[in-house]
Amino acid sequence: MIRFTQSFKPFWQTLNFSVWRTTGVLLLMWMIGGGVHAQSDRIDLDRIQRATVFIMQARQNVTAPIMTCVGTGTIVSRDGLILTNAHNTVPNRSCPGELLLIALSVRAYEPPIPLYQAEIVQADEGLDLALIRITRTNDGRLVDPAVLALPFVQLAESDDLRLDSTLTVIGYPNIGDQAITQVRGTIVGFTAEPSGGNRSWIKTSAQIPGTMSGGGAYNQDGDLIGIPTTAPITADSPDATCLTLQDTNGDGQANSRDDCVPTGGVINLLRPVSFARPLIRAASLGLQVEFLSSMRAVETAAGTPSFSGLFFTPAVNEAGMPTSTIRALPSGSTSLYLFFNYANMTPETVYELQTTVDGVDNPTFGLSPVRWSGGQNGTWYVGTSEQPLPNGVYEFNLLIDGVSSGTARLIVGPADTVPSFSDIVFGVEDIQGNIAGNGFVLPVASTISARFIYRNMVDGASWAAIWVRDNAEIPGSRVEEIWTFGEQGTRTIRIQSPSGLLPGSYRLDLYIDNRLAATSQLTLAGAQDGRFARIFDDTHFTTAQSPEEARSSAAITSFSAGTEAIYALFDWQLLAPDTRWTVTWYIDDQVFFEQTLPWAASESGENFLMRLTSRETIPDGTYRLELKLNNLLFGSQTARVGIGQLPIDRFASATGVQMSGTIYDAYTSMGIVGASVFIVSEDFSAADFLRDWNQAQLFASAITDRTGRFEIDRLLQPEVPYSLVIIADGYLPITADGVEFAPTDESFDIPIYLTPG
Amino acid sequence: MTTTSRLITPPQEDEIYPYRRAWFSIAVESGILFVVTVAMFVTFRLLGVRFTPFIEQIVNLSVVLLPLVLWGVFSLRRELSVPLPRARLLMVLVVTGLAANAVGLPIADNIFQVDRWLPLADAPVRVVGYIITLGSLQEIIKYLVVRYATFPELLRIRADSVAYSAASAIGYAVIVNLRFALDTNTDPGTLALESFATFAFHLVASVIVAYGLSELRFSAPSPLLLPVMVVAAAVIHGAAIPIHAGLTNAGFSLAGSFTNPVFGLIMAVGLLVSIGSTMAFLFQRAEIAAQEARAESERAP
Amino acid sequence: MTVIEVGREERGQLTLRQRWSHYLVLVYALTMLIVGVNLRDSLLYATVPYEDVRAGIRAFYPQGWLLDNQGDYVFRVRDMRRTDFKTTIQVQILPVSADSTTRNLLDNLLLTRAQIFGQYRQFPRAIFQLPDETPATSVNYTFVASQDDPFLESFPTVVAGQDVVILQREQAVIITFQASADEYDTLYPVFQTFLADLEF
Repeated sequence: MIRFTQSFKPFWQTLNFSVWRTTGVLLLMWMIGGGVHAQSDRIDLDRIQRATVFIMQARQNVTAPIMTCVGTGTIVSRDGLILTNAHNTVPNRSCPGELLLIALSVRAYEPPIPLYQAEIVQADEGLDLALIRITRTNDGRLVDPAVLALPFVQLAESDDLRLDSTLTVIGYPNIGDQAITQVRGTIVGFTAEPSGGNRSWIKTSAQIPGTMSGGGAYNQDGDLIGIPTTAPITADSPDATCLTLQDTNGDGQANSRDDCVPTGGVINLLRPVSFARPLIRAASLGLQVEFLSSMRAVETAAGTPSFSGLFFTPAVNEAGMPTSTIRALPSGSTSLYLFFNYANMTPETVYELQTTVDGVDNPTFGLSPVRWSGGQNGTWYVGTSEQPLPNGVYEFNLLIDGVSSGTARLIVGPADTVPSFSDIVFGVEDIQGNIAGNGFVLPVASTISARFIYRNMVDGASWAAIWVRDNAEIPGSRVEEIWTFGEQGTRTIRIQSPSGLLPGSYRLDLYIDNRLAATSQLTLAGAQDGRFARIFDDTHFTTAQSPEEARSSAAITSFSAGTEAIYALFDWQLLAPDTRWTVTWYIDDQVFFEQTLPWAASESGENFLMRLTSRETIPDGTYRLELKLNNLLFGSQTARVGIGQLPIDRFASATGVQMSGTIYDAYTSMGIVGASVFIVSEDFSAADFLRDWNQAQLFASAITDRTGRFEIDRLLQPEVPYSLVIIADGYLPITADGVEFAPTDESFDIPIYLTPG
Repeated sequence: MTTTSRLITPPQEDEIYPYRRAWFSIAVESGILFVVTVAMFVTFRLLGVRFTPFIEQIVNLSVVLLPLVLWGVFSLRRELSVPLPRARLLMVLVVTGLAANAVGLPIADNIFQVDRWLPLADAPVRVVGYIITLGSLQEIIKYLVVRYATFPELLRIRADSVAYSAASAIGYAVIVNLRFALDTNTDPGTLALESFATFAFHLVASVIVAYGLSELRFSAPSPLLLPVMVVAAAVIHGAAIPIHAGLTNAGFSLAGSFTNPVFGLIMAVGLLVSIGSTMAFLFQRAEIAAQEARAESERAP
Repeated sequence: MTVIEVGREERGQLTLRQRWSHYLVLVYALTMLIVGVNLRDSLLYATVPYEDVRAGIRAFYPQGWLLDNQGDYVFRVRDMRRTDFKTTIQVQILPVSADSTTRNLLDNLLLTRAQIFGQYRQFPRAIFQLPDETPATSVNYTFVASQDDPFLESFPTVVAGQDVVILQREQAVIITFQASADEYDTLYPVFQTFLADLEF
C-alpha cells in the first residue's frame, strides 16, 4: 500500500498555511449564509474565536454542579478577565447559580471544552455587564494570573461607529454542543438613554441567538465594539426553550420535573463597549471603591414599578433636559425622545419600548426588552437620533416585565405652527434681571428664575406655569394668565420664598391651553458662591490605618508607591435626600468607577468618607475624584501615587503577529515533545542569550506539546528584529537573528525540523 | 614460389595478479552504494513514496545490510577466487562488529554520553568533542582488531592493510547503522543517507589507519607515523560527524525550517572521493618507492 | 622421522619500531578516554556563579540553565533543554516571625502548593544536613505538572521534588529541587552539587 508522505513537502504545500485556512473560513462563512458582505482582511477570526468563551453558570449540588444558565463571554485581557452580561452570571432569580464554568474553543469548528472556573470581579446589573476573572482550573487548582496567557480582543472606540457599518457577532449559538458561530449584520440605529447619551444602545440587523448574549460584536478591524445584550431569558419567556439537561431532582430520570436551562430568543441590541471600559479598568487593576460614611439605608422599591407622564421632545440639552414638549414632529426630523417618569424600578426590572408607525411594528424606533439601568424613581427618556423619522402616526408603548405601563402618540408630518414654549433655563437673577449661573443646579436661595422662549403665541391664549418639588406642586407657585406678551420672544418667571427655598429637586411645567408645552428640572443644593452653588467642599485625599483616623488625617496629594489604601473625604452642605449625585474616579484620566445614586446622608455635614483599595497595593498613577450633580462638576481633587503614571502594560496590546508551529524530528518526522522555543527580545542576539541564559532577555517562550506543536503566547510586533532559539535535548539547536514580520502579517504556522546531534 | 619467413614473437604469458584488488572492490562497493542511496532518496524523500510499516522495516534492514552484501560479493567472494586470498578477512569484519556492539557503542552511550552535551555545545567544542570521544574511540577499536588479527604476518602487500581495514570499517558501520535503523522509525530515504554517511566516514578513516599499518609493516618509518595516522583518522572521522550534522541541519525561515540532506550526501561523497584518492595516491607512491628501493638493492653488487 | 607441520602459521616477530608504534597508539587511546570523560564532565557539570547581595545568597548553578529572578523567589533556574519536566532549582526567602517553626512553614507551603499543583502530595519530613553541616529540614513531595496553554495537547508529567528549609535570622530559606519523577534519582546529584556550593 503506497501513500504519500508529509515528511517532505512538495512546493505547493510550503505555502503559508494561513492562506489555506483563511480560504477555508471564507468558504465556510459563505456556505452558512454569512451574508454577501465581503470578508475584511483585517479581522483576525481565529484569535477572536479563541478569545470567545462559553459560560455556564451552575449551582453546586452534592454530587455534581447543576447548570442554571448559559451565555457567551469575551476574554479582554491576557490574564483571564472576561467581559459578559450580568444577568446570566451574577446570581439572581432567573440564574441562581454561584459557580461559573468557562469553556474554550480549543479547536476551531468543535464545541467548547470546559477548562476553568471564574469569579465575578465587577458587575453593573443595570447596565447588564459583568467582568469575571478566571481563578481556578476545573479540578479546583488556583490559576496564577501572571502565568495565564490567553488570547484576548482589542476594544474599539464606539464613537467611531457609523450607520450601515458592517459588524460581526461571535458567540455560541446554543447550550455549547456546537462550535462557535458568527453572525453578520449592519448597524441600523442607535438608541439614546440618560445613562449613556445618544449611543446607549447599538441596533443591528443581525439576528443573534439568545445564547450569544454576552459575546462580542466586532467591526471590520476586528475590534470589539459592543456586547449583545438582552433581558434574561426565563422559562416562561415567549421565545424561550427550556432544556432539561440533568437529573436535578435525583429521581433517576431527566425529564420535565427537573430544572431546565432557558435558551432561545433573538437579540438585535448591543451594549457599546464604552460602558464596559470603567469596569474593565477597575477589574484589571483590582481597584475597589467603598462608601464608608453611614448613609440612610436606601429604601427598596415598595410598590409596583410604573411609568407615567409620557411626553416627547425633539432634543435634549447638555443637562439631559428636554428642550420642549411636542405633539408633532416636522417631516425630515432626525431625532426624537420620549420622556417619562418612573417609580419603584429596580435593576432586575425588564422594560421595553414597542413602536408602531401607521400600525406597523417598527423596531428601529423601539427598544427590545432590557434591564433597567436607571434609579428607583425619577425621569427617564428613550430616544433616537442620527436617523430620519419617516412620516406617519407613531404609537409608543412602554412595557414593564412584558406588561404595558404607558402609551403615547406622535405625528411626524408637515410642519405645524403651533404655539410653543421651549429651552427653559434656570438661574439666579442679577440686578439687571439677567439669568446667570449653572442652568440646572443652583445654590439654595430665596428666588429661582426661569427663562424660556415662546413662539407662535397668540395674545389671548391661556397659559400656566406650575412649580413642583418632590413631585408635589408648590403651594402658591401656580401662575395662570392670559397671554399678552406677543408672538415670540423670551419671558422670565420666578418663584420666591422669603424664608428660602428648600434644597431638592424642582420642576417647572408650562402649559398652553391646558396642554403641557414645556418642562424642565433643576436641583437646588449648596450654598451660594456668587452666582454658583457650593455643594461639596474641602475634597481631599489622605491615608490612614483606619477610617476613624482618616477623618482627622491631613490632606495628601502625593502618595508613595505601595500605598495600600487611599481615603477620599469631602464636606457638603444643603444637599437634600434623594438628590441624585454622581461620583467618578479616574486613573490617568480614564474612568474606573462611576456611580449615580440618590443622596442618603444628612443635608449638611463634614468628612463624607470613601476608600479606595486594590488587590495588593494601589497601582501607581494619577487619581482624580469628581463629584457631580446633573452632569455638572461641583467638586474635584487629584492625587498622585508613586510615579504618578500607570506602568506600561507590555501585554495590553491585542495587535501583532501570532506565531505558532510544529517541531519535528528530521529523521522520524514525528513531533518532538518538550522542545523549547525562545523568542529573544530585539535588544539581544541569539548568541547573547545562549551565553547568558537569562529570562530577562526573552520576549516570549513556548514548549511543544505531545504532537510537537507550540504557540507563542505573546503577539510579536511587526518590523521588530527578534532572535529565535529552538533547543531540545539530543538535537542540534536552531538559531536565527533578525526575524522580522511585515505589518501586514497576522499569523504564522511554521514547520520546523530538528536534526539529532 | 618464394616463401617469406618472419619472426613471430612468442606470446607473452600474462602475469596473473595473485591478490584481490582491494581498491577496486572499495570503489565498486562505494559506487553501488552511492547509486542505491540516491535512488532511495529520490524515491522516498523527493517523491514521497511510502509503504506499510512492515515493508518499510524490511526495506530499512536491507539498506543497512547492503554494504555487507556488497562487501560479500565484491570483496569476500572475489577473495576466494584469487590465487593468494587473504585470510581472516571475514573474521576481522565480524570481530569488529562485535567489538562495536559490545564496547564501542556502550562506551559512547554510557561513559561519553555524547547525546547529552555535544549537540548543544558551540561548533568548535562540538568538533573537538567528537574527535576526542567518538572519533578516537571508533578508530582505536578498529585499529586494535586489525592489529591483533592481522599484523604483521597477514600483511603480505600494502593493499592487504586496505582490505582488512575496509572490512573492519564495514563491520563497525553496519552495527552503527543497524542500531540507528532499529531505534528510530525513520523512512528508508533518510536511513539510506545516514547509512551512506556512516559508511563513508568509517571507510575513509580506516584507510588512513591502513596506510600507517602498511608503512610500519613494509617500510621503516618513525614510530610516530602510526599514532599520527590513527590521530588523523580520529580527527577526520570525529570532525565529519558534527560537520555533516551541521550541513544537514535546517536553517530558519518564516516559511519553515527544513533539513538539507543533499548537503550531507555531497559532503560524504566528497570526503570519500578526496580522502580515498589521496590515500590511494599515497599507497601507490609508497609502492613505487618500495619497488625502486628493491630494484636499487638488486642492482647493487 | 621428519615432522611436517601443516596449517600452523608462524607468528611474525614485531620489530622494536612496530612495538613502540603500537604502544604509542595505546597511550593515545587511554589519553583520549580520560580527556573525553573530563571534557564531558567539564561541559556537563559546568556551573555559573550567581550572587544576590541584598538577599545574601551566593550560589553556583548549572551552566545552560535558564535564570529567572523576576518572580517571588530570589532566583530560579530551569533546564530548558529537557524534553520532559524542566528540572528546576529555586531559592526562596520568606519572612517569618520569631514564633514560627519549621512545621508552620512547611504546613503553609503544603496548603499553598496544594492549591496550585495538581495531585500534590507531601511525604514525611526529615532532618537534613547541608554539606556545610547547617541543620535543615527536608520534605519530599510529588505533584502533576501540566502546561498552562489550553490550546495545546500536553500530557501531564509526574514531578518529584524536595524542599530544604533553613530557618535563620527571622527568615526562612527554602531551597527547592523539582525534576521528572522518572529521572529524579539520576538528576539529584546536580542538586547535591548545588547545595555544596550554596552560601547564605
